[in-house]
Amino acid sequence: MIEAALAALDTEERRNELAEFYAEHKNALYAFALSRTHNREKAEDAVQEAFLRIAKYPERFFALPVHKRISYAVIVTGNAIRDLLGGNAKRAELPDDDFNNIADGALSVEDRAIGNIAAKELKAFIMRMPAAQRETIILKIVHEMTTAEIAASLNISEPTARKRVSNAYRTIEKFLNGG
Amino acid sequence: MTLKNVLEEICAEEYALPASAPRHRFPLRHRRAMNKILYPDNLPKTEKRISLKRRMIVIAAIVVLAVITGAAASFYHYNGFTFHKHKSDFGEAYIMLAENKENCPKTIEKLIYDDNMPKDFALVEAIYDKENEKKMG
Repeated sequence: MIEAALAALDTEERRNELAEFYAEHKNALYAFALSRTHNREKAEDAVQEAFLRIAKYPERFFALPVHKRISYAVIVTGNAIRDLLGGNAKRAELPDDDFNNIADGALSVEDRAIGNIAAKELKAFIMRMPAAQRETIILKIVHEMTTAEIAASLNISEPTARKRVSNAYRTIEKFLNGG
Repeated sequence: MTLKNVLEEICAEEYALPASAPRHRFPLRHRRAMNKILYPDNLPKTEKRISLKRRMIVIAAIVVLAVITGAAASFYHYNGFTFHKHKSDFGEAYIMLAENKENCPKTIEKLIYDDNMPKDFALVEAIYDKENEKKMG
């Protein structure tokens, strides 16, 4: 599987860049994974799986500004942890619904101006949202990824990614509307 | 502020990594896998590994074949006799032994010799059967 995935890492420059990134952050990513899994072996596997996913679709990683790569790696690692622990299985089984028809960037909540107090409350609210939803909306808005790219990064189907994005948008919109 | 600003703040605060983390010694299995991920070209070409059991079977088969081939080359059977090949001072020679001595006549009734006598050579010596003191040829 690894061999097939790595044809994408096509240039030596990219390989060196990713290797440097790994060397610089492997201990911190491992510590993050260990804090979630409380299992040494699973934490190591999560770091490995995260880099495999990054190397499999390197365009997304290398398209990001350097300061956003860390959060991207943390999100991918977090998702790999949930996969390893079986946390994503139930969500993946949810049936598709009308969210599939929502186009990328079609919701207006993204552009709405938020006051400072409301921003703090929104931040706290977003942190209470399910991690999978929160990370999907971060990838969508902060990392400016398409749902197809989100799906590939998180190893989920495109309809599931679209559904998570839509759910997150609706939940946030509902919060902002005082619901 | 917009939703994007809020999410960027969350990203910076919640999805950041500490500047320094305790050094973790990753096991060889992990390091190999990471090396495979990062530098797939540097890996040694994968060789088809042959199990020890299979290697032993192959070696045993070679030895058996060698013994059979060697044995076949050193003797053969013909017309009720076994011819054993051996090296003498004069070159290769054959010792002819009867395979079944039961009901065997005590006298040589037929002289067997190599009729492909090399040119310029002639039979100069006859061998006697010491037990019967009779001339064999």
